[in-house]
Amino acid sequence: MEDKALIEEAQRGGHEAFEAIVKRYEKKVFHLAYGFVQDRAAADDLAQEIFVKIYFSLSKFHFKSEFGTWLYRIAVNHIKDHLRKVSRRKEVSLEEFENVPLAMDDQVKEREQRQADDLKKKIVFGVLATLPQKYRMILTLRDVKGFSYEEITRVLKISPGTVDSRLHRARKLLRKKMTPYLGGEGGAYEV
Amino acid sequence: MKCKEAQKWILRSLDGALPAERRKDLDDHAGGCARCAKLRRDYGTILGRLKEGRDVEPLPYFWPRLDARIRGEERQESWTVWLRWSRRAIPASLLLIGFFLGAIAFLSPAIDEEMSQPEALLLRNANPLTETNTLFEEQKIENKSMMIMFAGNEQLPSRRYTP
Repeated sequence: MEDKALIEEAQRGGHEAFEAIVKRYEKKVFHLAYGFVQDRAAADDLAQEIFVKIYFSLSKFHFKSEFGTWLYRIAVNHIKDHLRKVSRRKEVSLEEFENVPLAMDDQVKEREQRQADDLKKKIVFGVLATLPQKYRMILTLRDVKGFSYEEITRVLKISPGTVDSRLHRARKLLRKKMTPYLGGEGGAYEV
Repeated sequence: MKCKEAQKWILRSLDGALPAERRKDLDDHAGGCARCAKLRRDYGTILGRLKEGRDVEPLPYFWPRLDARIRGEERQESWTVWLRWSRRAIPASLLLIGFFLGAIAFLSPAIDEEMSQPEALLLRNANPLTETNTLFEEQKIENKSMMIMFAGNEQLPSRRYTP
């Protein structure tokens, strides 16, 4: 069944149709949330809240845009609100990563390697979390979620030119903040 | 190609949007410039790590948990709607009661409050004791009796007093 038919059915109160919509988009919304919070439980909770919001505002969707775009816009706005609330409570600090030894020997066991990979990933996402929200948002949509420029334009309601320039600035800033972890000149740890 | 230009193309190359010719120029430059080669590697590493964020699986039983949550919110929603309406209903019903009371007060016929004869006389700045004096001054006993009888009807002043 296509999105349109499912949505129309769900708008008429079809619970099974809404279940099908959720199953179709559940992973995408979860991954989007995970890209920002880097915690499975928190991302799951956010995804659930987003779908509750979708359920209660489904009647307001009039097929003026693609359903996916509409859904992602709601998701992005919800995540933005969440991040705003969280940032008031807790500032993400890079200090928590500073004592993590990341230089691994070639002979390390597989389990240790996996743990080390997780740590490296944590560092990158930890640094990402310290960026201004607009940079964090665009990097998550493009480099974590793999959205196309057109999709980002529609979801964030910004021009393609702005997507391009903001993305480049965000990548530059992320790289600059990652410098101590990248090895080479002055680098303390290798990511 | 200079470093500044190379760095611009490195950023462009991250989206794969680089013409083949430019890519070759960039490869040539990075081959001879350690700084730009490192920059290219750094971006590759960072983006590679960011892409790993896609591998995580959602927690199990997503739909059953969501279904329960929606049903809970629906119950709460209907209660909230009722509460919202009841909050509006209280001032509305008070307004309605006030309106009815006002209408009753406005439409009911006004009660004519008649003044007593002495009140009417005082209002006209006349002496209310004039009639009493007349009674005392009357010589004929029959007339006096009649006047006393009429004076007993003092409770109906409007009938007696004719301006």
